[in-house]
Amino acid sequence: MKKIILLLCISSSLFSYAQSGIINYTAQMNLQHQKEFIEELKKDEKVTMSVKQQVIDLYKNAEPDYFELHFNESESYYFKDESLKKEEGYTMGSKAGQMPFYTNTYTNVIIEDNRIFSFISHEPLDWKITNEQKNIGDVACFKATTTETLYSRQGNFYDRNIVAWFAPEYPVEFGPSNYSGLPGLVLEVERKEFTITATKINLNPNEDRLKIKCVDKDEKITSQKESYKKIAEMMKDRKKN
Amino acid sequence: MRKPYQFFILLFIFFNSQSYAQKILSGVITDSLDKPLTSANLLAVPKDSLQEVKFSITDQKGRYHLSLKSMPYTVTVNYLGYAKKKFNIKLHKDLVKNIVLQEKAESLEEVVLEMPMVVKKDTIIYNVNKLITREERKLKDVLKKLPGVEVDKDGGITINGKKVTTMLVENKKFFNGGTNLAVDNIPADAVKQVVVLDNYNEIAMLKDFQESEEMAMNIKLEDDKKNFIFGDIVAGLGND
Repeated sequence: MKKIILLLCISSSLFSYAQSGIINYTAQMNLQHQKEFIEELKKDEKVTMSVKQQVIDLYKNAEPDYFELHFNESESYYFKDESLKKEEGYTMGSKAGQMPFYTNTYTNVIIEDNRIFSFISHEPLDWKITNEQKNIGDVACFKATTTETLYSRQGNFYDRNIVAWFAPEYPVEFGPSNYSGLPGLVLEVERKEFTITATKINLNPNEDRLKIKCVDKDEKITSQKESYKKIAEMMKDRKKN
Repeated sequence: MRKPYQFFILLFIFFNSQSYAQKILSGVITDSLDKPLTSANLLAVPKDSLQEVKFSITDQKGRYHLSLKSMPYTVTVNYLGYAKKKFNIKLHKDLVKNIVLQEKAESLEEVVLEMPMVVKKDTIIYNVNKLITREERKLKDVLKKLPGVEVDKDGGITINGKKVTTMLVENKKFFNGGTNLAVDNIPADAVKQVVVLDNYNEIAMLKDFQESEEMAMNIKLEDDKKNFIFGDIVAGLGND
């Protein structure tokens, strides 16, 4: 009798495991940012003409980046899809980051898998939701805004306004990189430099297509503050040399 | 007679009443078997569209917590795989409200949704392959199938009633930039994306200072068809 109950429990838990999905995103550098950057660079007299021209060409030929977000009911994994990239040496991307992100809503963590500083945990963003709505594809989305404080390689803090459009129709709190924690799947993120837009939503995909790379408990995870310190130290060392 | 402290008292009362106006709606969200639902979403949209929208995501015990002003809200409760629940509420005092959601039967099916059309500030991007049937021959046949786009018989294009003034192919002006040559000559299967740029200005720096009446259409081509040959071959046979 006990075995039957156990079996029943297991099977029911399997069935309730229906919350999963794969979302494709495309990130593109904003034209406005691209133009502004080029204008700024043209004015800069320290940079030689040939270098200027190379950088301008890179910016003008910036390619979009493709990302995928895989999630189940409590975890998500966001990573860049390199397979769509052309093999022609170095091209400029969208500036929307390169690193994979792992989120877990049970343990409340957002971890960036940064290749230089191992793992960096991010603080959840403090969103404000406005009553403004728009459709992305056929999906109704609400506008949420927040300000993110970032740390530049030059060693100073700067703020960026973030606009996220999320769909309450898809009630999961995931989104691209650390832009999550809203009452609905994030379908679009606008920042000064780039825009990330969802191009495909695939709910309840085949289980074996789902790719979620967990972060081990034993891994050393550094906080954002610590990582800033490390960046500053590294930059100092580089200047000395 | 105006006394300065009167103003401060007024200010004090005003802020006090503001903070007292916050009421708390809380409770537990469960399924029909009384199992708490983690990460269920609540969205409280005020009737007054100028007020802030509030939200809450349930914790591991299914608990939620919304601090609302005493004005009418529409609260929507959502959990993937469950039927959504909607109710109107106006709080006069703190309230505990437990919510039960019903499971949807068809939740295990795979659903794929592709975005055919993306609208950004003053840009519309049409992902052409989601909108056409592959029977199209020329660009004009493609354009006629895109929502909001019209092509007249002289080759002029209007988008939501506004005329396209500049035609670009891969970011470069197509011949003189007129639309009529492009719509009749670019083969339909070479078109990957149609990007419409409203308020178009050739000098990008002026964009923010100057409203322009210009509208541009940029045709992005399939990677393997960047060098297409255009034109039609017409052959006829005489009676001799």
